[in-house]
Amino acid sequence: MRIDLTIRAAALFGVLAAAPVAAQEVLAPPVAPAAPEAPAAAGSRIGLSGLTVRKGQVVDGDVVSVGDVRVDGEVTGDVTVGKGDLHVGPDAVIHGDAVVNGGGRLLNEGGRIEGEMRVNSDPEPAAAAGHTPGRQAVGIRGARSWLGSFSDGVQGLISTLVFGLVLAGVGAALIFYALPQLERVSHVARTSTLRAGGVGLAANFLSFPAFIVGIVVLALSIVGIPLLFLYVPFFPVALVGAIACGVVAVAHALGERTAERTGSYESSKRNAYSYTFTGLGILLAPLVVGHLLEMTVFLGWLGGLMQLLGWMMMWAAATVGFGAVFLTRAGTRPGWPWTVRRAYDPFFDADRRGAETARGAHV
Amino acid sequence: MAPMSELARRAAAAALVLLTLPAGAEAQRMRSMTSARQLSGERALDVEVQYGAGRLSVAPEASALMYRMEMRYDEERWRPVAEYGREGGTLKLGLSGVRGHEEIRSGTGDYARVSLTPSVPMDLDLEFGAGRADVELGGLSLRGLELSTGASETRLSFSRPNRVAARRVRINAGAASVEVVKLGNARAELFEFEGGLGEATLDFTGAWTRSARATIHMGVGSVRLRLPRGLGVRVQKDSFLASFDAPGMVKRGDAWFSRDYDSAAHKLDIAIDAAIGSIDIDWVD
Repeated sequence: MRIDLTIRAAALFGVLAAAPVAAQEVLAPPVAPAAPEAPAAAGSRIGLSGLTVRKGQVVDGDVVSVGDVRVDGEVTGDVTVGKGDLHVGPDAVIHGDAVVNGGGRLLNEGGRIEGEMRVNSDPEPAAAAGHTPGRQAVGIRGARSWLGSFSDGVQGLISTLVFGLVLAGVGAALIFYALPQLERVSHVARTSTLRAGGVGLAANFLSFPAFIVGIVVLALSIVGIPLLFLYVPFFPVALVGAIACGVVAVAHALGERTAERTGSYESSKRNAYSYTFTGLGILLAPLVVGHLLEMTVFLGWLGGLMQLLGWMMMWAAATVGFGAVFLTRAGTRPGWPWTVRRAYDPFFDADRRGAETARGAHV
Repeated sequence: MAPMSELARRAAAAALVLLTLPAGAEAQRMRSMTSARQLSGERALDVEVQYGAGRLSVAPEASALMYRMEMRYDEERWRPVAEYGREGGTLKLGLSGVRGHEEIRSGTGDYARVSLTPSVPMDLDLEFGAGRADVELGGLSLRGLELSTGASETRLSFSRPNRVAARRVRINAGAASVEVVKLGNARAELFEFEGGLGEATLDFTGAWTRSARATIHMGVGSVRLRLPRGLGVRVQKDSFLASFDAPGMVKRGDAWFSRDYDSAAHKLDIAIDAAIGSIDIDWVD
């Protein structure tokens, strides 16, 4: 007969408070236990201060005990011991599992255990976790072999390319669906770089507090609590989206500037797609080069520097871009700040001149 | 203005919301566990060992146990697995990820030591994720072996002859450094090695009792073959940008042969396919 799990849990309550014991023995030499005997009756046994199953005695069920347990007879179920040792005599038969919890030992003197023999320690104290003497911490990055460095470089390169593809996808979508807005943000990023950078820098520090304040305000207003279910996921998504759009806008500005400064740049390539992808290429180039250098191992230090430069560029682009998104209200603030005339774009502007003029924007 | 108690209630509600939002800081909660099982007349075993990350060692069990497994693990992240199916003779050992922590990440001090009975013929499937594995299978009764490693440093050794003839020894290494020692003791009919990226040393020395075939696929990296003198070796190579250094071998047709290939008592036919890297052969006395 199986005993109720709650009874077993209660019996093993002491296990939770047991001190950790380093030594665990399975099939260890015999040790004479000193424990009171269980009543000579069939059925499951529960002991609160240890028990003994005598030779010739059959327990038709489980044995659960806190404290030392000795089994010389037969147990048809499991034997579970907490905060004590389990001694299995030479003539003992346990048909189920023999489990010792709480740092005790399982000492088998030759008995038959048909199930699993398991010894579970207590959790180690937090201070000791990860600092076991004599054991070396294991980590793939522990030994910087050629393989590890090359592998890291490949993984980094793939990650960078995927990152670039995602940004390119965002850029393509923005150009296709929201080109005027993208151009406004890009223009602000280009012509009011410091101002946009300042706003973006402030956002670096204020976004999270603003998020928390929003939660608190909604929670305190009671009626706004249901809105938390929208606000909590939407705020980070909107933030990441704004940053991505900002990076794309900065890439667009970079590509546009490159096109203007490069005499050989064909007019046929002067369009928003080309600007954006060229700018993304410029932004991601240090990262790509950095990971390529990382693969060589001996130029790994230079690769690290290039990656640092790449991430700094990306951070700067994100900061300026986010600031520009903020200043232009995601590019929906018409007429602002079109104070500086851009160079005429013969390919792109020709098609849009009429529409932009009608809206009061520049040509 | 709301009364004080109302304000306190709202503040408590807000604090509760705030407390439930951020994910709790993850701390390691290390626990040790030893599991073992006695033999009970098993005629064959199908053993599967899965270990995500850390330091793994596998060896023959010295006592009359079916297996013995000692491990130290982060219980916030992993759960030990020791499942035995008596009917099918299936044994699953290792760690499985706790829900929400399925990613492979090695913690400090994680280890598992697994020992397996040498007296029961078994098929062994060993999957190892990341970290370091030291697998000693000499003296076991292996009918087949499948070893898969991820980004790891793995050493597989057959220091003593396999007790039974094996059908196949298959090693699949991702981005790994793999060293296989004394493969000849595996007594396998077929060796298969598949490497993605990294370095591999395949030592075919040992007590050869039969002829065998080997297929080696390597993506990017180097393969070093250590071959015992006296073993007839034939190498058929298909490479893209891989150098091939085969001292002591002569080319006949589209394959390289050891000089004593035709007269050797046992032969090893190797088909090697490498994309980028190098293939080197060393002869061992």
